[in-house]
Amino acid sequence: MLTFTEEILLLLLGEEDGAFLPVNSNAFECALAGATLMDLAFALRIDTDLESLIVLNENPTGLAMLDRILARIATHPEVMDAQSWVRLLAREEANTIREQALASLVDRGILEQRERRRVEHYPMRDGTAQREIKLHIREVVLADDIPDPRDVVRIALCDACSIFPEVLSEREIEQATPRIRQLRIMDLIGREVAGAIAAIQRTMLMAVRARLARFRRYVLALAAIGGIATLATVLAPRIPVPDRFGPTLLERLWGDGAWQEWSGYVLLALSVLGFAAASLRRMRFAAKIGDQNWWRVMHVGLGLSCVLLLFVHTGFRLGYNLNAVLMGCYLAALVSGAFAGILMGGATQLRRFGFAQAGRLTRLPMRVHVIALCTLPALLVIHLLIVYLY
Amino acid sequence: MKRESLKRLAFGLGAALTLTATAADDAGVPYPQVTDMIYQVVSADRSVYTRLVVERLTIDEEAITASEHFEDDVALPLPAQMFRFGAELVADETEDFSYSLLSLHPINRKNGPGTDLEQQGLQHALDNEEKFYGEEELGGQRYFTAVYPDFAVSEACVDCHNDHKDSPRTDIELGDVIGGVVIRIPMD
Amino acid sequence: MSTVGTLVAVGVVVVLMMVGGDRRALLIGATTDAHHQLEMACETCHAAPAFADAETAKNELNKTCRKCHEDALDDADDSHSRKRFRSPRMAAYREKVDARYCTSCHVEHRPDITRASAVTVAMDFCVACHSEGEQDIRATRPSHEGLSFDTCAGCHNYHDNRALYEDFLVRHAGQPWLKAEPVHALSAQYRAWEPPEESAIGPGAVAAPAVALADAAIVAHWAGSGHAEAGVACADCHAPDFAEGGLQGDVEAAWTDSPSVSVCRDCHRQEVRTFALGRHGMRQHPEIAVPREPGQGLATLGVDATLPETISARLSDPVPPTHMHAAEARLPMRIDAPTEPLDCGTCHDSHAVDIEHAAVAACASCHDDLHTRAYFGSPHHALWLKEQAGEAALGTGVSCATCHMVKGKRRGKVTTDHNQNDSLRPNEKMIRPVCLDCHGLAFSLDALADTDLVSRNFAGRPAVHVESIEWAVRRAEPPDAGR
Repeated sequence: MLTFTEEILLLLLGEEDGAFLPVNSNAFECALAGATLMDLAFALRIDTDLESLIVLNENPTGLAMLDRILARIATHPEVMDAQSWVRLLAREEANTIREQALASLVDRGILEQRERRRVEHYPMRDGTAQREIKLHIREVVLADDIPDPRDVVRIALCDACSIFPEVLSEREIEQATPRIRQLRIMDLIGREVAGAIAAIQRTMLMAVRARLARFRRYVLALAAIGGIATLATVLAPRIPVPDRFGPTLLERLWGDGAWQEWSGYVLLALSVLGFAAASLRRMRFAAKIGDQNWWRVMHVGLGLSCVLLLFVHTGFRLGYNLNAVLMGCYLAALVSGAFAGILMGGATQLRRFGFAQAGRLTRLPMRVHVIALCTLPALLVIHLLIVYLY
Repeated sequence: MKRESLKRLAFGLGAALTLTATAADDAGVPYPQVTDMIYQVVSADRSVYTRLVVERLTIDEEAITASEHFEDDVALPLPAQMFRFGAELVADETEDFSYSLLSLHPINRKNGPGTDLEQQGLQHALDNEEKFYGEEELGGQRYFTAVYPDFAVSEACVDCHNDHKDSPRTDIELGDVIGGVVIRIPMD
Repeated sequence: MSTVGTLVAVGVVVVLMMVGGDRRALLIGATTDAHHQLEMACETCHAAPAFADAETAKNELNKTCRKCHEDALDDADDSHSRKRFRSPRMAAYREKVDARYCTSCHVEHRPDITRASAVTVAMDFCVACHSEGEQDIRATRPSHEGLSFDTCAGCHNYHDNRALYEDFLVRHAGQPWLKAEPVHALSAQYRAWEPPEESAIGPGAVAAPAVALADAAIVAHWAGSGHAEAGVACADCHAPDFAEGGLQGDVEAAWTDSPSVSVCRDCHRQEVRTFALGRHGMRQHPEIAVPREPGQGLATLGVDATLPETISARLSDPVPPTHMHAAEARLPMRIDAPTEPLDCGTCHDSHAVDIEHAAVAACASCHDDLHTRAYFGSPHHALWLKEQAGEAALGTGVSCATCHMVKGKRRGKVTTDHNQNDSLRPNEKMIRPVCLDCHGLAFSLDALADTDLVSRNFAGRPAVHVESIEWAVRRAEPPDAGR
């Protein structure tokens, strides 16, 4: 039988590519911590009331990930309530729990472990296990019977992680909401835990929302500046090459080979960094530096710095022949990126003006962004070859 | 036509001198000795041109004139011009050595002292009527520079330098130092 | 997918650059006028080996400039010659403008910064060296006091100042605008030349295949030509091997319908040589790079294989066109300009070899700018018609060729310089060999400086005045000199 932790992980994996569904990472971590506590509770190792979470039995369960947490609770110098434990474990143990549960799922032959573009993926051997769980949850939620205590916990966890949209249709959710709420409070043993999760969820959610809103503001601001700077410099009249002799800054920038070489390589480095910020942010080491939102802001910020360097390198002169193609692709990447950033960062504001689908609208600029970027390596190599061979 | 044969002549001279400079280096001949040798050749050639061509044909035979604008005037190039054309051709062929004819009182401003050492050397040549050796750095390269006093050896020199509208000096007499031959060798 | 695309695109470009193929798509900017005729033969200028360091690349590039332009600069007594700047004592000046390299001021493929005469630095560049100390021109020439450096190029040229040195100005001071007997001496001499009578040859005496002789119009054209007068007959051009063999052998076997330019060169060496120096014939310049050998490029890339014919044919360079076509010109051309390649026969009808046609009508059959249009009906044109009609002396008429295909004397013989650019860019180059024969220097300087008057093809009097002569005279003979 799968543990709650394993089930919740399994439910959070995308069916097709074995990548995690986009779930708020804080909720995810809380759910993992909660699921582990539930597993321990069901194994009769811990019990909880309103003030405290106590160890009933220190004997190992035989499951490494549960035993480690059990030992930690047992050896903890002070008694804490369930909420505090969920918070503590979510903060400090979630990653380990996640890894151990995934490893266990791989051992059980349910998942495979693969690495694609240096990001780990866990495609399912076949979707049976996940399908069965989903089916089961569906049945429990949509039926009227008195559910099994384990199901009650499952429902609580699914609700905490907002997994229901993956299991039920929109109408079914609407129909099942009162029942889900009812089932959640039926959980006799884990109610407090679930309640804690919910409480934490609420506070977390508010914090996350605030954080998200801040990040979105950054993304919006940077993307807007970038977009306006790009369009302005593309559309504004070119700064004429100075008609006075002398090594002026502009003449050096746009005429001196060595300066051109430098600005070109700095631009290249910034572009590569920007690309890295976008593509590596799901990597584990990236998470240590900052969360995905942090990386997204970095990406947009680097994009903006590329606009400035592009001006330094070219004066927004569009070039000729292949250089013009390179410039076109680069500008397409910048403008589409800025546009996507504006839609993403300004989603809230846009919703206020009646553009509810802003999120979906980002798809088009994102696609342009990616296609334009795909052409850049070839054009850049050719650009460099032309410079160095002629 | 005239310029072609002049070119050939100076080219031969340049090649010979390049050989001299290289050989000197291999044998470890000191820089002053090398510049002395170059000076001997270039000044001897100009003396020959001055006496056997210019003075003979313009003063003795009155067959042709010598003029600054020798092409337009269908005339002989002035000895100083002949000297400079040679120097330019050498510069065109090699950077192993270079020479020029300069003065503290040049008719053409561009032939005035251009570096501190040139100023010092030309002044030394003018004051003491003797050669001057020194070292200087130009454009990131160290040079051995020698300056040899150049005398007004003929009436032609004196007249032209005293009468030319652009000449800063009008009191030159035969035998005066009116400038200097500057020879440079890059040092490694 | 995109990785494959990247590799393929880069591969294609590497092959284009290193092995062979049309590389014009790689140009980083439009090539300047005239050079655009050679742009498919990159190695003509880009002669440095692949991935050479910046210094070598610069040196090699500048070497190739000199290959084609050094003679003209030498002839012009280049005021800022490379040899002068190679002297170590010019090191300080080289830091301002490194005049040893053409590319310091003339960068190719940069239309955004290209000014007149393909200069790619600001036109007040004289300020770099002539604004300080001993070289401060405003201090050493009182007449230049207060002039700004963007006005220098109005009179002076960086390279060619043969018509501007002080003594020249003084000597030509006070001349009337038109001389008492305005005749272009060398043109007169050239047109007065007649072949010795005994050399003339008639249609009866020529050897040619019957088919060729059947075209009465061609034979008539030839019979009235200078070639007939000079004894040059059909076989001399159409079957040179036969002609050289002393009328032995079979004229039909040696016959070619379209003789190459080398036949012309046999007699008109100087004309053919200079033709290849100007814009009309520069595609025949001997320094133009030949197409690359694909095998050689592959060897550089480390591929040592003999390619199948089909592949190597695809890889080979486009052969640079051997001739200019009116359609490729960047000056305004007539819509009905001849489409055939530009060679001797384009202007000099192959059989009539009519010098007078070549001097005006041939030019106007392609060129369609204001200056060309205004020629017809201009004072110069009127003089030309009078000379043609025999009402005026030889050399009094002024055709297009008088000014743009300047006559010169070489070893006692008058020849026509077929490099039209020798008397242009800047147009003051025309003063000495052309204008001064009929006009005074002051008038010539003024007329050429008046761009409107140039467009009107000198119908009228100059509206601008260049003060050079007055300034030079004032310096040579100061007003207080008599005191």
